[in-house]
Amino acid sequence: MIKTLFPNVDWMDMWEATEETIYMTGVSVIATFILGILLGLMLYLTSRGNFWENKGLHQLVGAYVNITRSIPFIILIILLIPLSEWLLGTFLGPTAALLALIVGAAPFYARLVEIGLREVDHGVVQAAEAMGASQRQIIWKVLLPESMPALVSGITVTSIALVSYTAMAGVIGAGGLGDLAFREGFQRGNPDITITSTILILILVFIMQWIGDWVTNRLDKR
Amino acid sequence: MIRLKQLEKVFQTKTQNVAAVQNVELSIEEGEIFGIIGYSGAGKSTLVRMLNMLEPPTSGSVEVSGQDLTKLRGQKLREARQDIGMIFQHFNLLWSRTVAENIAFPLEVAGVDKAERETRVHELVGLVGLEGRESAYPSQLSGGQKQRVGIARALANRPKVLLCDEATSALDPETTDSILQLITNINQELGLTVVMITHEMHVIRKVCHKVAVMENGGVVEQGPVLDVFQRPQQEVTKGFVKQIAAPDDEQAEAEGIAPPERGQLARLSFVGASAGEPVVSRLIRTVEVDVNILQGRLATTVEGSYGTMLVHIDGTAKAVEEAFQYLEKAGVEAEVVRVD
Repeated sequence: MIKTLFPNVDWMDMWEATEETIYMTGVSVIATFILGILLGLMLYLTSRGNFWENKGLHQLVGAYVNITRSIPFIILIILLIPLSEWLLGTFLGPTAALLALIVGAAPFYARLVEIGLREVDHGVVQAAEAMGASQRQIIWKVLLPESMPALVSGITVTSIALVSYTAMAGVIGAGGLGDLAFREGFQRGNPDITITSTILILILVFIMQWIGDWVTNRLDKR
Repeated sequence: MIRLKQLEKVFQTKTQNVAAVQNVELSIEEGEIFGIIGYSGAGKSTLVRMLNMLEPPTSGSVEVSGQDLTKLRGQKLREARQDIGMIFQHFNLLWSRTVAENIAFPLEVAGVDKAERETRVHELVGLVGLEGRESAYPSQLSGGQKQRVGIARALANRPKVLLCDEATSALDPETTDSILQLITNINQELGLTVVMITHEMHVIRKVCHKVAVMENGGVVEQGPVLDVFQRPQQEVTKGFVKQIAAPDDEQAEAEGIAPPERGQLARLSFVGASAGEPVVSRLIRTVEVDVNILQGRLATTVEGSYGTMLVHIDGTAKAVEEAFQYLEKAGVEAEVVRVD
């Protein structure tokens, strides 16, 4: 049955491609989460009326975020080739793709983090200040925990975007399901491979969305 | 305990400078419940926020327990703030933490170890009457319960001063009373100095020993609550006193009353001790007059009562005259009300 419906699918290749996609998405999501929160905190804390109010720095970080966020991902990969050669010695393969994925996704996530932090009730921050909390304590004990549901739903959206970015990373030989669908499915005229890859990507996305929603709901006590 | 000298706060906007607080001189004694009343925009919130430097003053000094807070920075200021608890109109609890974790928050900030935190949280939960709700989240609590958590949290580090910024303004009247009762108990049991900001005269009347009235960023009148009630000097103060001790619209009420055929209409003001005595019944037994009560309102404060009464004193001209003299001797202010 499966043989007749998907005559050209090599399940070993398919599994390998799935693993590559999961690897690229997984590592880049973790790195984006950390980097994005750092950048988002920078954006938030340097904005008007906050701890490190600094117009210059705020605009600098903002400009970096806006520029990298605006460059189409496929172009960003090409632009980053020299950097990955310098950093990793090669610009090919899944690990080289990680650099582009993180550089592309972190600024996007940073904006979502900034929005999440802005939603934190200012009164609560003031209450903590009135108790004598230091800025460090306010960041760790107030800002991050109170915005956690927004941070988690933000990373869910970002990681789904990252799955589609991994498909584009095929141009630098990153592998993964998108690459497989394009080379084996489209270029060799095997629509069954394209369809199987699509179904696997959809399953991946649904699982990520489900986990994201579940965690967000668990965290949100409002 | 708290001394404010020449305190001033100017906010700069694009077009102009706005003085939110100007020239405030206040002195608050240890163990006192000090009320600061004013309409919104009078600068009272800015004033209370300068007491813990949430709002740094433009000039002047804020001395709490002999320490000038305006001179403190960084770690020193944070330590001083741990001696000043604060509660807020909208409670400002962390929704991501349970009741117990919210109360533990200032203890974490102060670096108290875990075992000690737990004992202290347990004590505080008992103090504010929230036993059994320790693991509830703020969203599962009523407004009054949230403010109890706020109070427990404010008291966690055993502060010497408690600042209340419109602490009861978001609560219904019954809950307000229970929270005020709790604050009074804490003041008496722990000898805590309390500063209360409010726009409700009711709150001042219920719990405060002294009151300062604010208008346009300045303190226009201050003193013991009863004195200020008795002899309000400023229009704004008279307005507040009316809220609790006089008919809502005196003039209009009096207008509906027909001029008496004989005798006089009089407004009697009772203050302090005289409000507790049966002055009217003694009056009719002493002087040949009848007294018909048309309106009356009496309010109790921490140190005594205050009230007004509109009466018709009926009798011969001579008897009415004697009645006024009697009232004056009894310590009741009586003024003739004329209606046409």
